Amino acid sequence: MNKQSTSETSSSSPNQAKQSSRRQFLAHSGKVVAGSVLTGISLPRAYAAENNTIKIALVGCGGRGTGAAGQALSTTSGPVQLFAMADVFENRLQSSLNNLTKQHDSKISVPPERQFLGMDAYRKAIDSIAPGGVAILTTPPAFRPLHVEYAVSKGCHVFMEKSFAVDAPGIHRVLKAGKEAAKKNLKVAGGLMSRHYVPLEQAVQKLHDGAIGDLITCWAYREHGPVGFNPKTPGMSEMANQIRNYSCFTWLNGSFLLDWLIHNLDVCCWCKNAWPISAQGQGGRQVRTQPDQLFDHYAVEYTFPDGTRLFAQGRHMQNCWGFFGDVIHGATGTAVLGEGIYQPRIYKGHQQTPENLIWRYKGPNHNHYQHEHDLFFAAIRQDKPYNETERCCYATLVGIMGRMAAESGQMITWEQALSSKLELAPGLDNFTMESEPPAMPDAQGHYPVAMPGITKVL
Amino acid sequence: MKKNSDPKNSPPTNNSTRRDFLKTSTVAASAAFTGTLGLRSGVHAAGSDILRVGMIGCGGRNTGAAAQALTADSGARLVAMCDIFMDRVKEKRQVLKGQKTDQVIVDDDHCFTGFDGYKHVIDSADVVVIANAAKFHPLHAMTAIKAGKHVFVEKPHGIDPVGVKFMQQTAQLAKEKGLSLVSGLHSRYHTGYTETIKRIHDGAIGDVIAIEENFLRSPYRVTKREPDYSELQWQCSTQYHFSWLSGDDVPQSLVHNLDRASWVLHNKVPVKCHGLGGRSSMTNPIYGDVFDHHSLVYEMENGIPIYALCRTTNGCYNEYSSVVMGSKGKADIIRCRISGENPWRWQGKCNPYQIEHDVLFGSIRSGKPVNNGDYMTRSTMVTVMGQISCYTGKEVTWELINKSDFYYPPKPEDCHDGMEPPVKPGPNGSYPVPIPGVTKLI
Repeated sequence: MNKQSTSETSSSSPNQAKQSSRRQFLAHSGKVVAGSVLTGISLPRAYAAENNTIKIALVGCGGRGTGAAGQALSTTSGPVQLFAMADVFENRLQSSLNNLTKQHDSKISVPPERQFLGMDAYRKAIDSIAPGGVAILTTPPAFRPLHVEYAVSKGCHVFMEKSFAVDAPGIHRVLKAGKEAAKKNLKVAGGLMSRHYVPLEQAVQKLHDGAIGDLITCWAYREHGPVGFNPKTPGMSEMANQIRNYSCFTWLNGSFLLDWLIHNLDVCCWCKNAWPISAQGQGGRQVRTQPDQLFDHYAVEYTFPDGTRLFAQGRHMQNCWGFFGDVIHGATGTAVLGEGIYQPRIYKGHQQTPENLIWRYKGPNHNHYQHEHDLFFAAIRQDKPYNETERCCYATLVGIMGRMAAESGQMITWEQALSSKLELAPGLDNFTMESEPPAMPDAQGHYPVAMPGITKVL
Repeated sequence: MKKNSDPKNSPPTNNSTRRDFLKTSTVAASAAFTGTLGLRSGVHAAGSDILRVGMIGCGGRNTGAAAQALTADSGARLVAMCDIFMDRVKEKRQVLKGQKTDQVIVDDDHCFTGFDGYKHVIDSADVVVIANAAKFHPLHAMTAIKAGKHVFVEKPHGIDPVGVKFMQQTAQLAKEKGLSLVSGLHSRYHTGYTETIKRIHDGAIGDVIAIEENFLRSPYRVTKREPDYSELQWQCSTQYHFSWLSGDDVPQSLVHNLDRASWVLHNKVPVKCHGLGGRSSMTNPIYGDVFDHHSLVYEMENGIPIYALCRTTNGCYNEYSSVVMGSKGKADIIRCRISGENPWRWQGKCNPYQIEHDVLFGSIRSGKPVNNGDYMTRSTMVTVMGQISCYTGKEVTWELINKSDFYYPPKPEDCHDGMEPPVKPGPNGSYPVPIPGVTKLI
């Protein structure tokens, strides 16, 4: 269970897009997409005759969903069409549609009758492209298992954004849906784009080839300013408030540690080629005052099967020390890579000085957000096996077990985390926008915040 | 690495923590007494056969230290004691009298209280054992050394840059005056740790790649607030829970861990550190103003990282460990075990708390002073830089902490009975706590 399988194949198709973080990327996604359209116009002859348009449903029309849809529409392996959209907020859906129309007008066919709103909108959007369409699932992570299950049951291919679940029952639902997809020959891609970042692929290959000897400790960091919060507006339901601020409620995003550190946790596990067997850690809410549930800092010590460690630190606070990336210490050297590090670097020894540099990525800039969609759509066209479900679920479990350890103050094993029956949002499948969310404020407006030693997580 | 989910159920071992140790100290002390008596006879040639011992601080730790001092030297006599609270003095005098009947000769006139009590104890003694609120360790040690007295002083050896630098001056003065200064960083007197670290230095685990330190446990005991206590008295009575007195948990607890880490790395210092921390569960005002968890990452000059976690929270996973990860194996210092290419295990027994006093009194008798000033101040400063990083959220460099003139007010020499404490509870009973990113200390 703790040995990673390397089932996906990847080919490099360098793209001219400027390297940028996901959030920065969204800010200038217009330019990026325009660039990729220009450079990607020479279609391989084999697909030029292909007139089998793949219909796309976008479920979750926030920034990431809009970006993912844009990337799907920018793939060049055959005709694609955005055919349906779903969200719980009309303004989100409309602004997403407007932005996408500006860039991909000819590939958009989402008339009002295929613009779906509400908690069950995902069903209608998926129904309109089923079977054989592509469902892009980019709502808050809590809903991912439900949506993946439904898309697969309707015979659709799935692009699912991280995180893939927020609790172990959710992980099992996605794992099961992934197996079902494989049986039905449906393709499943997961939004851990770092796994498709060519500079990082090259760096990890070097580590696997022994560039810095045995890996002794991996360090995953994400420390920067506070996670944003939009105050509740008059008349807004509590459910709507929490979904709008999904990054701030545990049942929706599975904590900062999972939601924001999953990439760098996953990259460490990729470098190590193993999943951790246990975690212990700590965290708290020392500075944050927003009406939400977020811990503002975390530290988790993970142990790999060979007894080596992954140490993760996350913090979102103003005016504090920060770093965003992974540092890997091997027996003979160091690597600096991961989300936040656009040019992975490998050093001899443990001082990361220019004179100790033994390798750094020198190829063209690479857009892994585009690349992950290129690979996915190519696999659909060519009908090649493509199913990232298992490693995506295990990467999510790394974040979940870390959250469990930090919130409870307990040592949590991989088996304990994976076999947990605790659902963060019981009854979620039937939630409406008027349902009472699992976390409610007290009379002073304070939401429940985990207390190590008291909070139960299994 | 000792990993007990419930340390209360674990049997006492040779690697027990200080708190475990106190419960079994009587047994251990008498064993050591029998074992070392033979060595001692005929050695104490210098001066009078009687060495007068004074106790500064009458908590559990110093009571243990006094008992070990009396065990170390049959000519030692406990002659004076002080604490902020007279009832603690009287109670501990009784306890020690029960253990060392003939060696405890403290009359009522030599039981002192208040912030100035230490001066009278120093006047009455040849050797002082100091273990009270760590804020006062440098001042009390310096006063004793100035007066020509030998010193055993408990860790940490200061809680802020000013205090640690004062302890450095104390150590220098002790050297100049030929006086012994012994630190309560007992790891350095642990035979098993010494043997383990010697093997690391000899290459048993290859190159050291990283060090992991954990000290996770329940909070320090909260003392009952007596109805007649002033706010100042209450804070002093439960000093571990107030940073102006104790310096919080990085100096208090992780100092042992980080002292071992520094020892492994040939007494080198980190160039910088960054840390997180807060109060997540022990938020009741009875826990004062300290954090209940801290997480630190230090970086050594050669790029080797150390992470160090401490926690004082009930009902959580507990661990006390120092693990050194090498290119050819791993050393678990607390369990005195090396795994990997060169497996090895030390299975002896030792009582480092006793050995440190044996060494102190041996040095006095032989006229060859011992001075732990070097590592005791360096390791304490490493913890102070870590604590300040957790409080401020900033990276703190070794250079910066050594240049800093920060101290937790008031200065120890300005503390006096009846003063207003520097921190007071707000309207809801809670004390103000540091806010990383906002709090500025250096």
